[in-house]
Amino acid sequence: MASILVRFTSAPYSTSSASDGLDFALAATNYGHHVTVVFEGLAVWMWQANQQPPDGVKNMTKRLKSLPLFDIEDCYICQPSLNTYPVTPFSQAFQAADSNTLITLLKNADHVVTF
Amino acid sequence: MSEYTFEVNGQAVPVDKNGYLLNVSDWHEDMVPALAAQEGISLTEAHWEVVRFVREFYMEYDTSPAIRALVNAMKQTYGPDKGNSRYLQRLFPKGPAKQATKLAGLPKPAKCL
Repeated sequence: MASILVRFTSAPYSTSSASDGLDFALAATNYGHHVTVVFEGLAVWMWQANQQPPDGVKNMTKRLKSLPLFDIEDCYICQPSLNTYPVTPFSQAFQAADSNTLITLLKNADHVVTF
Repeated sequence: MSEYTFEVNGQAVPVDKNGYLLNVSDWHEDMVPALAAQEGISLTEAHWEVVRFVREFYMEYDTSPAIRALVNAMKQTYGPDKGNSRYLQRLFPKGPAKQATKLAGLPKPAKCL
């Protein structure tokens, strides 16, 4: 059982990266891996309240709410990115991470996967 | 038209090669007995409860629950008597998450890549 850090760096709906990253994170927990997630750069928009994705596109708000049910409790948002973008998060189910925390997360993970 | 279909009430509903509905919105409770028969399950009220529960889970989270999430969510709603894998495994012997999501007209959970 490995510890995997999943880094989200893309905006929620412009490409499939964010969605693929969530699929990967959820699937990894099903194989018993310990998953930590971190949202950086444009990915902080995944936490924006009142998202209205087009029909047929999965809603990030709903999917992020399911993370604890998949035992993904370690959830971080890059504080400098939050300072850059005027995001109003729909939930506080994350910890804000400064640069030092982000470096520690990277060091402590067995594998880092970036989406 | 999809390559695979599932016949119910004289209508052909598109499914994937494993028999999961391609469109979540095609599902209706009338289909559940036929889907259950395909899986060799004789439906009881306990099955219905789980099928409706995973359907609601999907509507709330836009995600099909894999087994761990299903157990965690069932535990939150119904307590440990039903929120445990043995209970669910007895109802759905070939894999609760796989079979319950199929009966509920949902995509396969993310584990089954």
